[in-house]
Amino acid sequence: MSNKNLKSDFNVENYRSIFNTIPTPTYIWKIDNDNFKLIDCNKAVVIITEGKISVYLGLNLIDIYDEDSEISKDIKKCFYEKLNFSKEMLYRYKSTDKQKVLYVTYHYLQPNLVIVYTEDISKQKEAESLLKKAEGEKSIILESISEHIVYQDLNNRIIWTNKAAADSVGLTIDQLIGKKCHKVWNNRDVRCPGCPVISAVETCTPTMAEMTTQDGRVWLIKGFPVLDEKGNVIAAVEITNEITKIKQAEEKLKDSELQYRNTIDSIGDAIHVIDKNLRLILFNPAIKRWLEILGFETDILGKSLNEAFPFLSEKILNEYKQVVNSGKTLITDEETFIKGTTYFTESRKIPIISKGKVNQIVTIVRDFGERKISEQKLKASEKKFRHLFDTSPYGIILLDLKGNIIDCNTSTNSFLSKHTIDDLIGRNFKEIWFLHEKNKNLITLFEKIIERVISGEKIKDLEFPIKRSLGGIIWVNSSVSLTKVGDESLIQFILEDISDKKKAATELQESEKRYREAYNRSNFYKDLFAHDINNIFQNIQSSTELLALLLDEMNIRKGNNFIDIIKDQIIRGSTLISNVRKLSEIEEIESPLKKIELFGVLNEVKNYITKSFQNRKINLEILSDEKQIFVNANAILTDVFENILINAIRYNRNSLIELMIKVSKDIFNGKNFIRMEFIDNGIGIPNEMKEKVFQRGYNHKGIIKGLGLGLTLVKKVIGIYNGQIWAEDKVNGDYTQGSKFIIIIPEVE
Amino acid sequence: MIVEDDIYLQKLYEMMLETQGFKIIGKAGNGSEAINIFKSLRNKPDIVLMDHRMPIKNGIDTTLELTRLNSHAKIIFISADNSVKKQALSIGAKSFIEKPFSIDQLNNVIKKVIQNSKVMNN
Repeated sequence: MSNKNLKSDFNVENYRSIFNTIPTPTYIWKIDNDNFKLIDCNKAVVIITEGKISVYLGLNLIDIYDEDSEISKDIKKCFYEKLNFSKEMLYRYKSTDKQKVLYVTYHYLQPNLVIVYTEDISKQKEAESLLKKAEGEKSIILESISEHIVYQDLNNRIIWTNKAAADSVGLTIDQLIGKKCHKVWNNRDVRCPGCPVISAVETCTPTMAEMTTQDGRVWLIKGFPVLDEKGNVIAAVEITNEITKIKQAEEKLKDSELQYRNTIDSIGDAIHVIDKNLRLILFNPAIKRWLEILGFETDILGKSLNEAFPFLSEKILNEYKQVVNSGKTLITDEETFIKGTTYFTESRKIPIISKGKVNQIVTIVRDFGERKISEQKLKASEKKFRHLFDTSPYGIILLDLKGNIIDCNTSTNSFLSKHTIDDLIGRNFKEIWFLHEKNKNLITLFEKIIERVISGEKIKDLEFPIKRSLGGIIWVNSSVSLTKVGDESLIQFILEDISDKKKAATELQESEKRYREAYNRSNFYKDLFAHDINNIFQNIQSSTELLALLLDEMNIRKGNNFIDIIKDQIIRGSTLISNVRKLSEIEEIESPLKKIELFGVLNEVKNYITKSFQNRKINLEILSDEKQIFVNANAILTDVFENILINAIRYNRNSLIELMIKVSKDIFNGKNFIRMEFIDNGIGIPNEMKEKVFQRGYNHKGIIKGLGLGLTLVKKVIGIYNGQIWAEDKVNGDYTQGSKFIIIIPEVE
Repeated sequence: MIVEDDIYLQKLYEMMLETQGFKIIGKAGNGSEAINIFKSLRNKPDIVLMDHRMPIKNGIDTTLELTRLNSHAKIIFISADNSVKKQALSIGAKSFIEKPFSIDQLNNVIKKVIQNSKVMNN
């Protein structure tokens, strides 16, 4: 069959029939000399105009529409420009006065026809509007949720996404559309392994998986297949939540749990957790070790307490029930007898409360067998120290920095007789002294002591009296210092009862005073005696001298012999007095030593001796290789030399008294000394007397009578100079040839 | 001038000095008396022999007062107690003699003091 044949088979009626079957209202306009006339319309027009179109058929365009109307312009445009076009148009039917949205198509048909198809799309537009509104609402919802929603085709190409998804990669929604999901979020050219969206498409089942993107973020991705009406997968929806923080928190929690678990496992104490039915739900390795050592079953998880620990007493099981009922932690010490051995433990039963009820109980069991032994030892040790503390004769008080008595020993009681130790402990020292009206002044003293000690001072030997309530005074010597007891700084008072010492000291002082007074009296008498006896001597001496002059005038020579004896005795007496005075001075106050030139002193003594013994023929020589020698001595050195020389003259029966002083340097025990030898031709000193002549109080007899006190003084003075003196024979082995007194004194450079 | 509370010594000093050719122009038994006599003397003595331990006023106090009255007074201090020697010389005594002493010692000291004062005056 050809088109030609088909055409030939159709007549106008046929076309008319077809024209009328077209559901779209169609109008035919004919143009004749610029006059546009509605010449025909199909049945659809008759229907929508309810037949009123017949009024308008055959009318010209300008009779139906204004020349400026849209439809007039469009028909003319179509004809004159020979242009086919379609457009939407809001149109009010003149026949029915109904307004519709029409989809109007203008079709030019040669030579002079314009066909106008008017499809009523009012309902479609309304539906579109409703859809748009619904989509807008959905869009707002989708945009506002934090989950990423991505609608993608089967090749993972993004068809639509919400704002959250776009924001997550810093792009706009439009920028995402068309891109591949795996490229956007994982910068991958191929699909991500394990992608739940792919899995959802492949399995046609919603799938979920966690994935980590390259930037380290963790996502929970849910893939949903999108099916058509036949059940075929045509697309996929991906809903993604970022769970990085949740994962981190979970990791931390896991770590924390692990830590706790490790901690609990590593603790030496046995720890277990039971539920409210007293069944074990957790225990640490220490429990297992204990059970192994004790020879019990170690597979105890899920077992009840008495099954797991058959040795537990009824009392302990009741304690658990008590914790369940009370919700309070219970700490107990136990002595458990297991297979012949007693174990000392401390248990802490700690309830774990959930919704106001005890759900679980954590039990920490500590073996303190060793601690118990240590405690017993410590107690014994403490007992010993407490015994020492309490039996100490010293009162020991420990105060805190506010002056509260923390502890004190039994001896403290003897200082504060009214109180027992228990009375004192816990009270402030002010209260203690305040109770004793007589001791109120001690409050200030103690306040100052505490202040000084806190500032770092150590107070020693502070003496003060305490008036006792029972009467009498107790003298106390106290030492106060800051001490550390554990972490606490305390003030330690050590009190010593020195009442007896104080009494003895007072007595001693009084005794000293008495002795001092006696000594002063004795000194006074000595001075008085020395003065008066010298006055007497002066009288005798002056008288004898005047008498001698008189006897000379009277030419009575023999009388002068007796006068010489009197004069000699006067010198002896006054020397004795002088020696007594000097000896007492030396013993009382040792005059300070200074550097003295020795030859100067010796020459002074030589002059004195020569003048003093003018009636005796004396040859006194000083021999030395040295010109100047220094020693550490004082003014008494002169008396020392005079004493030796006067003795040498007095105890010499020769008409010519030969005296020689040899001075030389010597070394004794590695030190430089000056050696002085006083050599005379006197009566000499027998060997048995050579030491005795230096002894104080020596009772002189025979030929050396009268030498003693002077040489005692000399020996004492030489000792003060760190020197020595001794006597030898002038001629070794024959004392009758004379004496040699040897003095050594340290040399001073 | 002799200042000495012991009347025997006072007399003996006088006799001793006279044997040596000295003239005694005043004698006192204590320091207070000595000052009064010293003040009353028109011609002041060449030498004052001053004992130390005396009633009413001792030798040290008297020496102090006399030297204040007359800075040229030549006092020879006499004492049985050698320990006052230093003090006596420091307050103006020209010399010190320890009891007991001989006529010669006294004579020598007096001559020495007079000689020294002459040297000083020249």
